[in-house]
Amino acid sequence: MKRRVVVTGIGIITAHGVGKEINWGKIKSGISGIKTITSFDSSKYPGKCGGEAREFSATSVKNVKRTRLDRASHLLIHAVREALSETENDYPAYKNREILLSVGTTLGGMLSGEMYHREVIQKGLKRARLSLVTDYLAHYQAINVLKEFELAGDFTVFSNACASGTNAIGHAFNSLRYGEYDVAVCGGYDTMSEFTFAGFNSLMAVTPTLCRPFDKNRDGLVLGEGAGILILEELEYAIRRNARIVCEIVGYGESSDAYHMTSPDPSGRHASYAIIKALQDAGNPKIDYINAHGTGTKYNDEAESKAITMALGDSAKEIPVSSIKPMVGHILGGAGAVEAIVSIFSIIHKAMPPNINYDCPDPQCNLNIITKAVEDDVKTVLSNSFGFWGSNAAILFREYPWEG
Amino acid sequence: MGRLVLTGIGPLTPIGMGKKQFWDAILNGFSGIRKITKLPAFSECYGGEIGDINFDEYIPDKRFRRTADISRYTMLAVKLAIDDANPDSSSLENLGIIVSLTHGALNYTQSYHRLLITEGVESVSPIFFCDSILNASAGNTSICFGVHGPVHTLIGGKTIATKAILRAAQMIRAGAIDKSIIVSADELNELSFSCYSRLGLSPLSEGAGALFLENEHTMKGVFPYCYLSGIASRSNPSDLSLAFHTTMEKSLEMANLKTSDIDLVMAEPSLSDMIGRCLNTGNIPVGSIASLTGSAFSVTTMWDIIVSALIIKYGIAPSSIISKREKLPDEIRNIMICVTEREGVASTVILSKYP
Repeated sequence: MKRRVVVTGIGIITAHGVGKEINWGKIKSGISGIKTITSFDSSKYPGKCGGEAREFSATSVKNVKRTRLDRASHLLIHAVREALSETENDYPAYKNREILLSVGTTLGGMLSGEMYHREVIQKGLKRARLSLVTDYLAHYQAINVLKEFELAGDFTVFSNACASGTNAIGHAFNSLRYGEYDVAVCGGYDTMSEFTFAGFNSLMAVTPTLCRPFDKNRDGLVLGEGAGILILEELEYAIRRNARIVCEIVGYGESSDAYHMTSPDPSGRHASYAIIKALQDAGNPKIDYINAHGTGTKYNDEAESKAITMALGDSAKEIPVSSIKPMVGHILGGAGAVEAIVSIFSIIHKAMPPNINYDCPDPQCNLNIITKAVEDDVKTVLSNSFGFWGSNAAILFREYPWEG
Repeated sequence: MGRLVLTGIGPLTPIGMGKKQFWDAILNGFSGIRKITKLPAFSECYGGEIGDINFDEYIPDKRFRRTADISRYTMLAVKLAIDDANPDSSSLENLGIIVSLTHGALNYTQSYHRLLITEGVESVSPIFFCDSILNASAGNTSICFGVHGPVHTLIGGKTIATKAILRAAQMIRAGAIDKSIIVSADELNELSFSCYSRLGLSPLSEGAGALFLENEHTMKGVFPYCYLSGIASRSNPSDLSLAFHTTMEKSLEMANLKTSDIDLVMAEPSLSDMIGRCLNTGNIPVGSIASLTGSAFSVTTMWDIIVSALIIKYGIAPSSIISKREKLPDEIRNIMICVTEREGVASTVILSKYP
């Protein structure tokens, strides 16, 4: 028997800043956090801008006894702290409790990796600092969270490219509803690194202008950094402890294109399966808003439009759709988690954020793209995530209590 | 809901490729540890390498000719497991792949970044970049075998192989998939070799190991190696012993077994005392493949699981890898595979005789 799973805490860091209020305020207002990159010299690249989380430098740590932590660990720990702090009881209540930590990342502590590689080139293998290596490993950020908050239980780190964050939330959702845990901390994160930036530029995937998802003249994505964390609880467990319930997760689906390393299957067929599975999982509810993956690349947006149309049929043309990536950038492993949080915001605040920079409709993306924030009685939201190597995931959030 | 069974294995190891070579090497006590040839900076050091394999013979698809070693190892191990399980093609439609990794394609990552640093932006290769992304080997494998079900890459240390099995088991039980391939892979690299050597960890090795896991009610025309009867994973950074004990209890409970039912434990020799305390016996035979293959992190865990499946199926306990053999019963019915990491991470798998 499946149990019901609710969201009781949220933590978010993006180019817009740290915390829920500032992020929702700016995202709803259609403000872009994309600026010329300052953490490395981007002048030599065709695309020079990104969504750096400049308001965030480092978090305080008490229990992680390391000489240095990667920025990825700082981002993740800070977002987890915000989310745990929100769950009515403060987070020491979770100490040594059986909790599942499920997070997604694309490259983990790559900033430490970059520094280590540089030291190897400059100083040689024997003199490069070993202290850089531990947090380079992509599972150590999760271990640092367990240590900092003295959590017991288990952790899982997904690295499924840009779908990682959604996969991590989906895994936590399933683990709770099948009775393996009562509480989960889940989400995703990634940092802005030159390693990644150069790579996406080498693929000619980064826009030299503006990221404009679903626009006919779109010419690429813009990278971002940040973290998004949700606290999930089994419904009865949350009710028993009188938790403030933010919303419910009602469906999750995933699939794989098995088509190409960077390009999605242009038919959108397998991506649509992920959406269909999520819809079926939730009992095929009416969808009020779709928070699209919407990278702003030619191929993703076209394939996603087809996938949405295939999965939702005629209603696809009516449902409001937007992507927040032109505002905060593509956070890769953190994208699905941050977008899940924005989906939840749209339910809480009864408003849908705009798809900025959208000027010229593309007939190949025949969706109801909203260019201004729309206030409406948003009850159920679909959030899509699609990654390299055709990793597809879709998740559904619904208001709680559900009066349907 | 039926029990989960292992119906295919795919070992790609320094002591042999495929179950026959692998098993024969173990029975003969053949060691794969030799002087390293792939890393010029460590030519005087010892490790376990995958020898020259004509990859194209097994995976003739031209799209994968330039992929990183770790992707090739992953695909090859998966092919071995699929060939071994021999499922009909229709039954692959609802298949998942869970890849467990510790490092990813470090050689391509290093090459890509070295070019970026030393020669500039114009010189970087998009192929090196794409294969550096941690889910590259999983993605290549899904393309190679046309797998459209869930394809996941999980990252971790030695325990991540068991977490991958746990994830696959969860998805099969939930009905999300019918079958799953679980694979673990690693490649030798001078940066990681240097780091772990400085930390005193050796000999290191490389390779891959894959399992084909399915429900006994849906398998067709195959006699399984064994049941996957128990599995658990726990983390407790402040108390490894507690995490370890919890995984043992949970996996025994899941398998409906008592500690006295465990005939053999596969684990690093350094865990013997902790295992003895948790199982309330100091006499249980303990084995590990690492003495023959070297350590390839999560891959070694997968090799230990594969060896355990073979021991149960063939009823032979190889002397080359098992201590206290005199304590073994006549028939080995239940093997517990125990893994721990730094930072309080532990996992346990129990394989049991089929039927």
